Amino acid sequence: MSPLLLTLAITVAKIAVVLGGVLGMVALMSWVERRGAGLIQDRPGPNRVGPFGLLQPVADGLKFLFKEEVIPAKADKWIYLLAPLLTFVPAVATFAVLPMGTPFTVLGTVVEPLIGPSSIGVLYVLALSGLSVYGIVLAGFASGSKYPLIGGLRSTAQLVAYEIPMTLALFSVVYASQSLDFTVIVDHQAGAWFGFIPRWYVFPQIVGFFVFWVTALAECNRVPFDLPEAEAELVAGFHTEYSAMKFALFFLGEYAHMIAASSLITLLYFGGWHLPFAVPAGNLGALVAFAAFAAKTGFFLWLFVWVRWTLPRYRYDQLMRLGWTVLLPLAFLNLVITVLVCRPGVN
Amino acid sequence: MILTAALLLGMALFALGLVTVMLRRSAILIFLGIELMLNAANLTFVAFSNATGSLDGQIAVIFTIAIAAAEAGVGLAIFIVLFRRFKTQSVDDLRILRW
Amino acid sequence: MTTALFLAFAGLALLFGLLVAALKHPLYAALSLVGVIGCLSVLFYLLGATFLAMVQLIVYAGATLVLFLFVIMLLDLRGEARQAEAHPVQKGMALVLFAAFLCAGVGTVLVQKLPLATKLVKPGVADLGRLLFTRYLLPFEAVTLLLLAAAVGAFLLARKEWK
Repeated sequence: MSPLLLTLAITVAKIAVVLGGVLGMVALMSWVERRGAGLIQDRPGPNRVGPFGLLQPVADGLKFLFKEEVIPAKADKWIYLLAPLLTFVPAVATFAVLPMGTPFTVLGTVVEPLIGPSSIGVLYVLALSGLSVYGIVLAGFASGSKYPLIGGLRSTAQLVAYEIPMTLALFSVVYASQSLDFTVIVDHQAGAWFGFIPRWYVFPQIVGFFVFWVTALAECNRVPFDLPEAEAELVAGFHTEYSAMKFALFFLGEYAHMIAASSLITLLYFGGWHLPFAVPAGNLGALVAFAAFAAKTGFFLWLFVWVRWTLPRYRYDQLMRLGWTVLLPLAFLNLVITVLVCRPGVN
Repeated sequence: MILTAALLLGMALFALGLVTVMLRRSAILIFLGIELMLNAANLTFVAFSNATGSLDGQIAVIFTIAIAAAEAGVGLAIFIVLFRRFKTQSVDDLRILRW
Repeated sequence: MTTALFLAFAGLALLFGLLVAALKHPLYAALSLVGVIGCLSVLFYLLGATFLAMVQLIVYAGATLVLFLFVIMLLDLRGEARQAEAHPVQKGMALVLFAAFLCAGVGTVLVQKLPLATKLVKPGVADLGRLLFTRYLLPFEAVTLLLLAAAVGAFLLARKEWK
């Protein structure tokens, strides 16, 4: 096989695996969310369909498929249909640059990260989070009714406002590792101080981690920042007028965004797949690395769910004030301290 | 080959932007034409930067993008003020200063 | 392979550009412009300007055009409502200029021999940064001031009350 064809085949296989994995994880996440909610609220959660309710996502999927597709009369039809795609695609496209472990060999060398612009991985992620605004603002507008419009505009303002502290927190990490490449950032976090405290960026940049995590919550429109889609306040915000498969796409997009955000947190602040102790090399090591990565990402996903069912939501003006007057200065502070403390070469 | 295609595309986009600015009556559409022209210029800059191997073209594009963002911000603010005052988006209706 | 991809996205960019010029509804035209910017971003990447490709998406598509969309939505702008026709002289001039541009472009590109790249070097972000902070430091600082002035100006202009 010519090398080009081989690379193409490997890339397609990687895309298939990651896409399948993400979609599967999304389905699993909806189950985790509802059982987790039940756990926190001292009630069972879904337990009718399958053992422990594990087939609930399947039932949900079937329900979405068979529901009637309604398009409101005043809706701008093409944009109304385009908007869910614009929300879903950037969330899933983020996975193209996220490395998930160390390279392993299967007949040839296969590396974890997918196609692509891995030399500017961080910028690619920023670009996609900027593009994810479009789906929401278009959904709000194209629905042709008041609540979605307000929800859409609020959500867009929130997303844009919280992008800036996120960018600054990201740049602190980029500065500390002198590279925009995720693989390099993760490799800088290998090893440990004093033999047992891992060299993860969360420890020197705890403020940056806090800022990044809060902005990730805001970017995914999750509590405590989910006023734009709050059930009590705005009917369902920007996706009020969406039914069946279109709503399912929004739903999938939100969970995919959550998974991407958790993976980002793991890669940037918690050492990706590095563990404080040594791991075997070769294919077994790659498996361990991937398992470590998955475990850490899973923890952050659980944290998303935990926070949702614990905290009340912010009012919109409180939300905006928090973003601009608290998180932005904190992110700046973190960046300044990082620049002062980390000289290139020294960590 | 790529250079030729890029330059041709830049020219075509610039011409399209120019036509949009000249023939459209709505201020927002004129703005979009201006942005299209700026993008065409950016493409030409990058194409030549690629051809000559120097980075100056890309630096120019960085500045152009920043300035375009600033100009879009101020231009849209002016448009909002005009829209509130005259209740129209057509540039033909802004004729108070005419003789 | 790269050439084929480049030509494909160049064609797509041209299509979106035509849509921008042809569509009357500001929302659709703005979305077509987003399409143009996306295709141009891919073209930048294929021309070796990886940083610029991403910056184009982050700044232009992610911020500037969102601003356009906001204004279009807040003011609920529809297409050009009344019979908004350009002055015939203007139409004639536009046609002449358009044709002139196309001919000039095609002619220049095909007739002249263009300088080929000595070596397609993939510049890193570090090289751009180095240039930006040494040779182009003055324009950099000037643009910073310009952005500040633009932000303050836009905020003051669009306020409801005028003091």
